[in-house]
Amino acid sequence: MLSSQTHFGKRGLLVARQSTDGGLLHFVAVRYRVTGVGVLRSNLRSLDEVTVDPLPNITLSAATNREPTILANYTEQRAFLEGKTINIDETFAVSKIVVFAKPSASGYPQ
Amino acid sequence: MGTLRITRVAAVGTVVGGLAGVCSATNDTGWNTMTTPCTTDAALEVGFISRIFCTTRTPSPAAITLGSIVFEFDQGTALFSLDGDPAISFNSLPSGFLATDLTINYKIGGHCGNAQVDMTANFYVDDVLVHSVVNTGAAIDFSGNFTYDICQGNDLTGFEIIGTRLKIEIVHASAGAGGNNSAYGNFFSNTAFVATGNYFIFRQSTIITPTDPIEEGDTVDVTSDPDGINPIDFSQLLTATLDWTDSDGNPHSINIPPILWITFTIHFFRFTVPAGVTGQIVILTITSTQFSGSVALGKLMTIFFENATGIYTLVPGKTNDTLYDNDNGDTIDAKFPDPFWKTGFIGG
Repeated sequence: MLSSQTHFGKRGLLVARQSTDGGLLHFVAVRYRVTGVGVLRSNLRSLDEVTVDPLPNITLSAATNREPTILANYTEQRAFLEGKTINIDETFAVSKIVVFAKPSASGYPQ
Repeated sequence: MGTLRITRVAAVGTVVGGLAGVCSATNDTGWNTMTTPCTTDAALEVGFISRIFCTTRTPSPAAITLGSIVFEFDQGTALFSLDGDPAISFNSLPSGFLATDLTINYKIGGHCGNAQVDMTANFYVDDVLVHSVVNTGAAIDFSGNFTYDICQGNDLTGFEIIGTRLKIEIVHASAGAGGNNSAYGNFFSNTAFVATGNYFIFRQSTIITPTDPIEEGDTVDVTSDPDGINPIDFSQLLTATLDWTDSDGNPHSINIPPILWITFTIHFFRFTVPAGVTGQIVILTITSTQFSGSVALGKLMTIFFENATGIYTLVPGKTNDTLYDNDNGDTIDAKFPDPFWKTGFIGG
């Protein structure tokens, strides 16, 4: 059983809109609303997956009253977040994702 | 690879010329069991002709004498001993049998010390001269051998000596006074022939009987028994074909092209079924170049299909995949290959 839902909080969208084309973002944290069984592994990856920032694992439970925030320290122009499990019988259900980022530079020099 | 020996001839044919009426051949007994053995020769003890004996010497004074004896071989007489086993006929040779070479050893001896002088022996196969030997000295016995290519390429029907004739022609050309056995009398009195060679099995067939009809794209594993006496060698695979009969009774045959050979090692052959095969019972024929065997056939021990997921059944809450495990005759649970999700790119 697989399910995932991507949801960006207002802060994340605002950051994206405020950045200029080519501006660098400093990704500082990710917050999930996720349930399941096993361990959720997360990564931030750059364009073409040239660089990667492995994020701390989240131990999943079928029910939780917490939305864990995991820290990141990753600077890229654009990045995407991925989550996965790697062992048999592991499941996850993601209902919310918040990515915290802020502008850090206007762009790479010529 | 194994050894081959022709143990006898099917029949002694015509004896003509100067040998007619005075010479006869003994089939299927040993050189050492001849009526008046003068010498023994282990190499010639069991030959397809153990003795040719001529009771009357050449005329005196000797003139050129020419005669021949023809030996015949057929497909129904037990002539062939494979690896020392009892002889079997050409028609009973195992599937895929191919003789690679045949050497005919001969020994033409004088009768208890009588020399053979100025004698020529010509050997013909189907009236084609294949070997000739001339004894101009005073040797008591002379012997030799020649190798005859009995195979026409890699064709099972290429055992050329079958259905044809081996003719030994004797020319005795010594002149002089008669009555002297040491010169030319009683020539050709003790003669033996042995034919030995090698063979291998290069083709083997077996029947595939899957539970369901096989079809294009199915993966089939074929193994030979590594502990058997004569395991077939898949590593030297040359061709593989599938033969089957459709529902209308029409026979079909299709080649498995090498591009569909996934793995072919000594005891293991895996291939993908080519397009067009739909049979319930399919005969797989494999052609190889080597066979580590003797008279007993190598066997294709096991044929089964590679692990396959088969037909899925949706099971609510199921968190893995279930595969058939042919090694254990059961099913095994396998994980899904790393399920994941990704967001879109964040950033300008």
